[in-house]
Amino acid sequence: MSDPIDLLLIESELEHDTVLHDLLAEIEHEATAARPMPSPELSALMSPRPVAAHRPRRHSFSGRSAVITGVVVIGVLGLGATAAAASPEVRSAIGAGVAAIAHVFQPALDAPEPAPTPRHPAAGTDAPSTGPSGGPTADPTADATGEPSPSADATAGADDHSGSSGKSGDGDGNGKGNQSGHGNGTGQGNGGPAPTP
Amino acid sequence: MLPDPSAHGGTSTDRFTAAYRELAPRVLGYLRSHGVDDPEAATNDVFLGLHAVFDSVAGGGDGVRTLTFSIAHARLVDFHRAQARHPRQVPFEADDDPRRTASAEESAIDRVGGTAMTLLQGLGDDQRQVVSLRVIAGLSLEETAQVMDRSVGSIKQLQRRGLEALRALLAREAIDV
Repeated sequence: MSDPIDLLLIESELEHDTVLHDLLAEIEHEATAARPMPSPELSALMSPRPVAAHRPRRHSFSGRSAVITGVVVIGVLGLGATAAAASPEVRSAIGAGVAAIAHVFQPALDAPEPAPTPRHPAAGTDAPSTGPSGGPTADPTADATGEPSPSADATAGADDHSGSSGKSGDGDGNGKGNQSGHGNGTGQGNGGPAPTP
Repeated sequence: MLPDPSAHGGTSTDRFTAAYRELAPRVLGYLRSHGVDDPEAATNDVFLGLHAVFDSVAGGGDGVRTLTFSIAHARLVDFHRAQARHPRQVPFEADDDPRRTASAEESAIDRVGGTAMTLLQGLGDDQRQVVSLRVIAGLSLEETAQVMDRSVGSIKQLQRRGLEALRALLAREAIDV
């Protein structure tokens, strides 16, 4: 491209300076000899199908849609669980399950506690006063000897007027003896008929 | 000849690619002649800026050339301002030390080629910009004034002084040799 150089020299009234003309031509040749490499972004702009430039956006979109789908699934599951918990049938079923679990642990809860050791052996006859309601299980004397005390029998007899057989051995033995009026107190608790006199 | 962006022949991508092939070496040479540290990256940046407005350029091929070097000139000004604020730290290179004296072999190689751009570095900033825009970019007097945002008269004065300075540097070089 010598035309701009000639024009430049004419405008500067140096058109006859051939040395300067050659120097300017050499500057142009050296400056434009190297051809730069376009960057990947610029190459994508000059390619016929600049699809590659949009691929990362597609990846991000698919990832975002997966996240949205996951959130929707979790939300639906949460709503289903809430609706099920609000249903009376489900609540009754859950209650039955809890009762069954509690029944498994019931024997351990109803197991007879070890008899408390009296701090003062001389006060053993005051046992009914130590229990919360004067019940048979609170009678340390009956547990130790198998013979019910008179005060304990009276209380147990009053409890057995309903005819219930009871489940614990101590309760049954005491109750039957009182109904017969003999008060023998075998302590067997088998629920059989009262012995005849 | 540069493609006219407003022409109907070919797609916009084809016209932009043709403009890149024609102008990219000149933009690279213009940025190199002014000491940009990474002229290839700056050249890519110039054409990315050109692509954003390419379809709206008026004036045909001359308009594309003028706009391209207007962007390049703006990048050059930004580079010099950034360098003035934060000078770039470079490791010491013995070959770049100005106190170093060239060997006889290096002097002979320099005489064979590569001295023209070195002479251009001896000009002042404004004179070097005018001469490089006229010679390397191939812009006219009016286009150079438009790119540098100066009057045509001042550009004409700068180019004349720049050419005289180049002539003097060349004469001094000949005496030294």
